[in-house]
Amino acid sequence: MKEKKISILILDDEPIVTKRLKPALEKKGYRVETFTRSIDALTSFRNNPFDIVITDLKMEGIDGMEFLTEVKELKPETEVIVITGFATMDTAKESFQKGVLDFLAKPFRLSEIYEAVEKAQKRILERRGKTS
Amino acid sequence: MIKGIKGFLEGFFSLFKKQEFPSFRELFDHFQRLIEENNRALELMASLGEKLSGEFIFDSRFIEQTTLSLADSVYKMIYHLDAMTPGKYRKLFSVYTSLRKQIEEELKGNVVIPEGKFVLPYSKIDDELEDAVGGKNAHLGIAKNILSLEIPEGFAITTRGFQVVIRESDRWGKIQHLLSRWEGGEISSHEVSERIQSIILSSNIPWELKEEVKKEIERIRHTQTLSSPLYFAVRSSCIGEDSEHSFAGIYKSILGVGEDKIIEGYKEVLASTYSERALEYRRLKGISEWEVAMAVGCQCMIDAKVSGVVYTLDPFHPEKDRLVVAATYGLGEKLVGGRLEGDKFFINRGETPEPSGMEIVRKEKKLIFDPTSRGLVEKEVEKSLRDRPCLKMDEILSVVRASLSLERYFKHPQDVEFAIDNKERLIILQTRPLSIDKKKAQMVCDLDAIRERFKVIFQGKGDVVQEGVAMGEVYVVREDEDLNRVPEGCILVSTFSSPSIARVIKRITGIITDLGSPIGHLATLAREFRIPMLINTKVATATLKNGQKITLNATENAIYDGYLRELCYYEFTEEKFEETREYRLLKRIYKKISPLNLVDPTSRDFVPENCKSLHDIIRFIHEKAVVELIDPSNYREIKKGNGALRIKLPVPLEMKVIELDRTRGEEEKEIEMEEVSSMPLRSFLEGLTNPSAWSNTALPLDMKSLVSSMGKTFRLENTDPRFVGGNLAVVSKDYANISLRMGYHFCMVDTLASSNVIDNYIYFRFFGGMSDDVRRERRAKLISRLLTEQDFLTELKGDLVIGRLKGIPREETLEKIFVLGLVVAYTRQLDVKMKEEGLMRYYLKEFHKILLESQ
Repeated sequence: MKEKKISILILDDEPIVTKRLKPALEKKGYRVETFTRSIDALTSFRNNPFDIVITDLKMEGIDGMEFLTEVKELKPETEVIVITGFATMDTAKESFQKGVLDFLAKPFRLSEIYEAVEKAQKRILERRGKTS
Repeated sequence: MIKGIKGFLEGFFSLFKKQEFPSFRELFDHFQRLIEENNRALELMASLGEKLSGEFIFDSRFIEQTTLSLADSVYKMIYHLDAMTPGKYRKLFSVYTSLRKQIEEELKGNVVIPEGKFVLPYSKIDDELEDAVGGKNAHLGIAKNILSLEIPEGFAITTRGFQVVIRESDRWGKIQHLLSRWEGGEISSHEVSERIQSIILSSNIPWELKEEVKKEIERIRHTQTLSSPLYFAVRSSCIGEDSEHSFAGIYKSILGVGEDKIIEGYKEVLASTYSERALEYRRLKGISEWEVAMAVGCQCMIDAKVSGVVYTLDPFHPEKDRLVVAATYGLGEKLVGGRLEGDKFFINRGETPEPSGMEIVRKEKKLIFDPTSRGLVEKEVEKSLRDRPCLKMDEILSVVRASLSLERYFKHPQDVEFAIDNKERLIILQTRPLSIDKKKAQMVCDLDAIRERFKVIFQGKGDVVQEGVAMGEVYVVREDEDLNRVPEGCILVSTFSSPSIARVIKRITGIITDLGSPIGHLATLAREFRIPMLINTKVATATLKNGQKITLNATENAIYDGYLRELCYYEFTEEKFEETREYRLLKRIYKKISPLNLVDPTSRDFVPENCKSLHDIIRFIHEKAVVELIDPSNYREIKKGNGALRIKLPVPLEMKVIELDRTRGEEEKEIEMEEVSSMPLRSFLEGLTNPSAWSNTALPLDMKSLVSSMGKTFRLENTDPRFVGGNLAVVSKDYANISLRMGYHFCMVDTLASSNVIDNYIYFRFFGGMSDDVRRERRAKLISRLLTEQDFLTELKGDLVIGRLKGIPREETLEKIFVLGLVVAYTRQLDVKMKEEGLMRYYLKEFHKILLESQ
């Protein structure tokens, strides 16, 4: 049976971030969709849950923390990676409490996001292996 | 950092009466904070510079936060300097404010152009200005100023013009209203377009814009050999045009516009922003009307003998790996837009481009521009030329070379329009990304399969300065002399990231170094020219051999054996981070922050008014602060017992020390080296007085330097207070600030070696020499190399060397300070000996020996 591509949803209100991350991750073989508004991201996620979600926390008018909480409620096995320019001990703690897999401070190297996504991929594939 | 001083100093100095000028303690306090802010500012600067490599994902918030934080540090430095030297350098405030304003404007999204508001000549346009002049103009500027290709003489009318004429006028309300009605489906594209265009065509152009255009045309007339009236091609250069979206043929271009009709032409092109075709195109591509901004290019008409178009990759058959050149006599209007009527030439890409075929057609007519009728006119082609290829082989190869250099820069196949004028000059008229079908390109390149065939020589070493793929033969550089024989198109592999490499940068396709930091002049140049570069790999010169054919993939930080030509194709389909707004914004801001213009503190030009960047201000303040600190009149007030104690040294050097955290007996005027309580100072002195570094005291001073030095003997000393003061160290247990003058050399060490690793740092500055300029520079270069080998972040400018190191454990910090002492002692008279460049390697080796001996 053909292995389904791992899907990633990226939410960040700065287009430069989504613009650079999308091709970088597609190149690695992932299916990627990007959003700059949480409402659009949520709608899409509800229709078709993604395997991995990469999201910013503090965006204009959007609360990333609320978004990822929703996501985790809709599908708890979703692996969430937080990318933020406002990295503090408190937000990091809160994120990990909500089950976030990794927490990257902006600016970050592409290699860092690759590592985080690979970590998430590993867990997802292990889970798939268990259920097949 | 220095605990308990407050109480001690307060009690001690309370004996002295309050003065208008700060006491020594206050002076030193300000100095320390100044240094703190200095180091913070430099770190932030490095952080900004590092993001230019492309390795990082950053957003505009990062740029804003880091930049403003850096500016704040600079402001604090100004404040502290003013506290040390009240009123003396007031001009700094206004210089700073002006720079800060420009930076804030940029952060707001308003591109600050260097001169005037509306007009920029092509000579002043480079890639960062794309947001002010549009893609078409920016690419021409790059062709000329970075790749040294010829383009038509001309200028750009910036987007500021569009803003003022359309957005900031009362017409905008009407236009906005019409656009909303169109977007809502109330009126047709045809109608909205007609009405908006007529509004624009009837608008007034600001007097300032007209004046700037007039001035530019005058300037151009002076450069032309003919005095006849000038005619221009007036072309659209919209934001996003020729970059992200092709917009080919969407906006207007008008040929043969007389200089008296430029403004009319400008209005026409501006109006074409809202042609029916343009509105529909933008709607299709999802481009918001509110994002649109139109700049215009005015280029002198070319008297074209032959015109043509080059596709650097055959878009219909990318797998054939060839260029297509289409050309005809006269002007090339028939060739553009994909019609390609005219002779076709096929050139194989490869290590050396080779012609592989041609299709010649009969060319009966040619288009030329006729000034008398002010239009394009068809003329008959001479019978003998009709069936001949309109381009000679050397002309074709010249065009191919130029086009490939454009492709290499943009890392994407190009669609290049060119002309060869009646003086046989090749002129580039336009260049833009060639659309290639992504799927077709990917067919050519199965990255994983390719990687299996090729061996990786090394990867993941060092830092990426500039991303990209380069292929070429290795050329190893160990000494600056090797730079005299750099082959064209090679990949330079160098021990050091020497600024001298700058002079060959246009000949090389890639750079790999053993040592060096991602900031500094060479890194900036590599980014400017978009030359893939890896720095600080440690193993490059040891692993790569002269003549070896390699592929440098700086994007991946990997070096492959052999040429992975497919990687180039792969690169063509990649998004270029250099083409993003944020990257260009960072570059523009970085230009106002990082470049160092002020270098020589002894020169008359070393004044606040000549600070052109924040880095200049930082450098200026640091210099002046040091001068102030070691001025003996400042610490003469400290008497009895706790004044400046003399240290007994085993070498012919005087050094005084002020200990901030201890009191010695009143009678003590002199102490032994071993009694020095400051660990950093002790380490430095141990290195400085180490016998191995002084063993060659009898130096063969040649008569020439001796005589020249005699002539100079007291000149510097009279003008520069640094050379008047003695050698002074201001210290505490973990801290030392040492100013040392040996002959005409001046060095300063500022360092903290505490139990907190994060706080530790060494800041080293060296300046000056005794012999002529060239030798002083060589000496500075030697010192800079010795520091780099010791892992310092080094900057070298002329005969000024600055080295920084931070965040290492106490023991290591003290070891490095010891080595600094050795370096200073060892090099103290070497400039006299530095007769030849080649001696550098010899002295490096000698120093390594001394280093070993001293352990």
